[in-house]
Amino acid sequence: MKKINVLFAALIALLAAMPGLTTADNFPQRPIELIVPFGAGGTTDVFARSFARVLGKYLPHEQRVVVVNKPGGATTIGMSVLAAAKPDGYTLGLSPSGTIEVMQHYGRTRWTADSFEPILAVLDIPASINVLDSSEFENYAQWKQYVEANPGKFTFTTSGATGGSAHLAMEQFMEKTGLKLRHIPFEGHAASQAAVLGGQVMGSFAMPNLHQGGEIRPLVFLTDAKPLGDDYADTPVGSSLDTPVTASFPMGVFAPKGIPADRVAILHDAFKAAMDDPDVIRFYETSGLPRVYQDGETFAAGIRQRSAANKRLLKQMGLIK
Amino acid sequence: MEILASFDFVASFFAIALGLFVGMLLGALPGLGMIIGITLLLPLSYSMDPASSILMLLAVYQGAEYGGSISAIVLKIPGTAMAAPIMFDGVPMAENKSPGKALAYSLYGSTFGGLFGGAVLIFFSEPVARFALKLADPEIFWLSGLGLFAVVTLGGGNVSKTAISVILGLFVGTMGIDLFSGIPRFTMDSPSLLEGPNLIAVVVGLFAISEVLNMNTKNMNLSFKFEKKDMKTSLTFREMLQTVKAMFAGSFIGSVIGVLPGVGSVISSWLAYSGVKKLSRQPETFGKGNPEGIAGPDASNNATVGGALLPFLALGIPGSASIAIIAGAFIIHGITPGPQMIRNNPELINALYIGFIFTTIGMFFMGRFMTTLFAKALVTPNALLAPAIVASSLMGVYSSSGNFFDIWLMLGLGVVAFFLRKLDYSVAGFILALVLSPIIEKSFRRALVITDGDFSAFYSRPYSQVLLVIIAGMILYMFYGQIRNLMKARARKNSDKLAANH
Amino acid sequence: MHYRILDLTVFIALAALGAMIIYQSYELPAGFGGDMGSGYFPRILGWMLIGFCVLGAVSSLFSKAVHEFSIPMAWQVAGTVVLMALFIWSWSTFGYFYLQLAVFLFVLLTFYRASVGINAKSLGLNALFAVIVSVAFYVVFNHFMYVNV
Repeated sequence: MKKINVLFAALIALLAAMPGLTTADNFPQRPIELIVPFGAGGTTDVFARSFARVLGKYLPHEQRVVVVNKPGGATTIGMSVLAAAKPDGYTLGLSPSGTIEVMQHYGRTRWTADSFEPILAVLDIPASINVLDSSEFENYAQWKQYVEANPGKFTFTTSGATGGSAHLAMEQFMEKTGLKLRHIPFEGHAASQAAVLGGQVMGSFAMPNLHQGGEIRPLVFLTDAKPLGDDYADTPVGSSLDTPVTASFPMGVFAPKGIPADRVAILHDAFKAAMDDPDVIRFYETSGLPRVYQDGETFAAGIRQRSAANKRLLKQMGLIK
Repeated sequence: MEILASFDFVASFFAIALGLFVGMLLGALPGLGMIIGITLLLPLSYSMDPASSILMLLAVYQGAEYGGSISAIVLKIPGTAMAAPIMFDGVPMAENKSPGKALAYSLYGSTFGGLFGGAVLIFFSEPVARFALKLADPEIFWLSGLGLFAVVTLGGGNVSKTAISVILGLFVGTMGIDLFSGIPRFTMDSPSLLEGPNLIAVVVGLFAISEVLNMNTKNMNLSFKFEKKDMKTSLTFREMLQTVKAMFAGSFIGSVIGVLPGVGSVISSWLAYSGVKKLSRQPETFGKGNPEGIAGPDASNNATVGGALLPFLALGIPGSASIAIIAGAFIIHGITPGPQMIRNNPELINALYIGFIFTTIGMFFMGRFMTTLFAKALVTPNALLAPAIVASSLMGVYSSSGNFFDIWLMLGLGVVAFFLRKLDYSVAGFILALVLSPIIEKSFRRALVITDGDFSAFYSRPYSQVLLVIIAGMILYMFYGQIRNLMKARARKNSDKLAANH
Repeated sequence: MHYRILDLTVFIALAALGAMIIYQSYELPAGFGGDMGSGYFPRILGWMLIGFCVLGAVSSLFSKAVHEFSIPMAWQVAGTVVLMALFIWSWSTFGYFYLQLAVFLFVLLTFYRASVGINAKSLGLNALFAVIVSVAFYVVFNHFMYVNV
């Protein structure tokens, strides 16, 4: 059966290549699939859909982009589908890079970071150390003083599992600053937010409320990115601390490795142009998420660097050998 | 009347009608649940005004909760784990008495519950949401334990087999990445199991596929015959009055429990079933087609919709997976979910309150119309029904994940469940345990992680103590009932002996 | 087959599963900071599973009810399972879901209605039903939901 399959694929490939043999000029010939490794309705999905709506305008031949949800396995299902897809530019993925930087170290996936070609990053999700608005900790210095005096007392949640990318970023923060905090895992953003508001845990490392007068007070952003608007202009960022710490949670577009360079350029330019589309800009503004662009190379370098750091931390914690 | 001015009646009317239709249809079709229904309509919401689009999605949610009961009663295939208790009494009533009546009790119960949940939402959102936040892991642990306890005592049949079914469900619930260590457990190195088995595939396999195989053991070309009047889905005033107590109890349990994130929507109908049974004057007729056993859990199912919406509107915390998807519609329209919503967008929230009530009333009329169509499924020969169910199951599971592993899982579990059902194992108990397992384990372990291993967390908090008293009361009540039955039996034996001696 | 023999076989198989769970749970990492570790809860479940299997087996041995275990029309059940497996395999290998779905439904229907008699009219009806269901799914899923199968 495999043989027939291959024959079939070859035939289709031939047919696809027929109309114009100068492929680069004619890409894309048919709709492009954008895989989202989450279910419908989440931030990544909503983002993908708002891009997909306008991308047609910026692609040659005004080709459509169709969002395909492949949820499950902590994004590994969707990324496995992407890694196995033909590197012809017709299958792309939109995903936070965080899981790639973590999951490959467990050796249970059929892909590694090298299986993907990062095309560009469109977003850097801001994350801060937060406490309740009614908390006694007015600012980072006060909080730091308390944590130094009470090592291991302060409990926080990252709305994720032990060994998740946000938890590992906090481990790195603790390692650099010498502070001792206790991570309490929660299943998703909703549950962890409820735990903070209900006082089950003392703080969180997550995106703060995207508006003023919220119930959560950010003490310090470990990411260089902050939510849009002036609400958090006075909150310090990690790179300005005495011991600088920088975390980053970019979300970007990936293709399977081996995609022709000219197609990467076409796709990159279309997505970059879509980032400047008024409809998409309005979406960034209403969702409060910062429009942080990174070209493919910068994005890839960041993934390599964070991935290496995660590997070291996971080994230290005894989660991998 | 400013509220009404900002409310586009015509658009909302059509949005609600569309949502109800899609919700009921997909809720009733095996494998295609409300999550798929909401996903289906989400793209439409880009081009609608915020109130209409959100009401449309809420209508899907409401409609699907009721639609799940339709297939539970008519096809013996509950659309969701929540609709499973409806089968206990719905199926016998539909088979022995009249399918129309069974569906009518379900519809009246659902409507009552929806209205009750809506009222709670409108009048008590802020305080109830604040209270729900105070309930922490120890209480969640006790509550889900209570849910599990309800299944085992409801089971009837063979106690060890029910217990085994529950344990198997709990075990399958532990599969996947462990939140506390980040290490995958029992995944057999398959990425498809990293988050545990796909719940839709499991539910469809256990109920839909095994039911199709069960149909195969009988003549497929026969069909039930019913009088036309048996298909009518209306109740007389007296019949309604009989179940008012059950509907009220179910609604109360549903809306109170529905507020709790994660736990609520799962266990409410089960707790409602056992609660209604305890309150009933004829507990012995439960499981044989008692109308209270249909109306009560159905009321609680629909009351959880309002309940699950409550913490979301008041605090921005979705109370169930479906509400989390609906949150996407808020983001699309540039409204950031959170406690500030009521302050910044009062006209929207008010429109949602009013629309929510309309959604429920609309469900009643849409239900009257659609249910008659669905009741006809009973007179369709199985030879046609079974292939349609199979097609819908394949479609539903594939569109939930796009993963062939899940399709094979569905088929495999269907075959296994078919045999185990023949051996008296409890599929319903398995499903509830599967859904509760992660909640039980996580809340138990997290309570200990937060207190650094101090077990007193489970009984030192006042809320926990209240729950413990309730659980102890239930156990005592059960033993009391058992002993009373035993005494009665012995007394009867003695009097029989006396009579024989004379 | 004898009901009791089948019953006991299932208990033994489930108890073996319990033993496997317990064995595997020891390979999972122990917890830290108040946590009881990943293997704790599954291990309890494994022991409980074995316990209830023993209990069930004992009560089955002592129960007086003796009856045969049989599945009426087993060939029809087996046929359905085989047809479904064939369809899923063929779909995952060759694609063309809706086309294959129509064929599958037609075959399944004909199989079920064979006892009524196979003639041109019934075959036509089966084909009609299969096509209507497939087209309905195609319209809803491909055009409204963009589920690509």
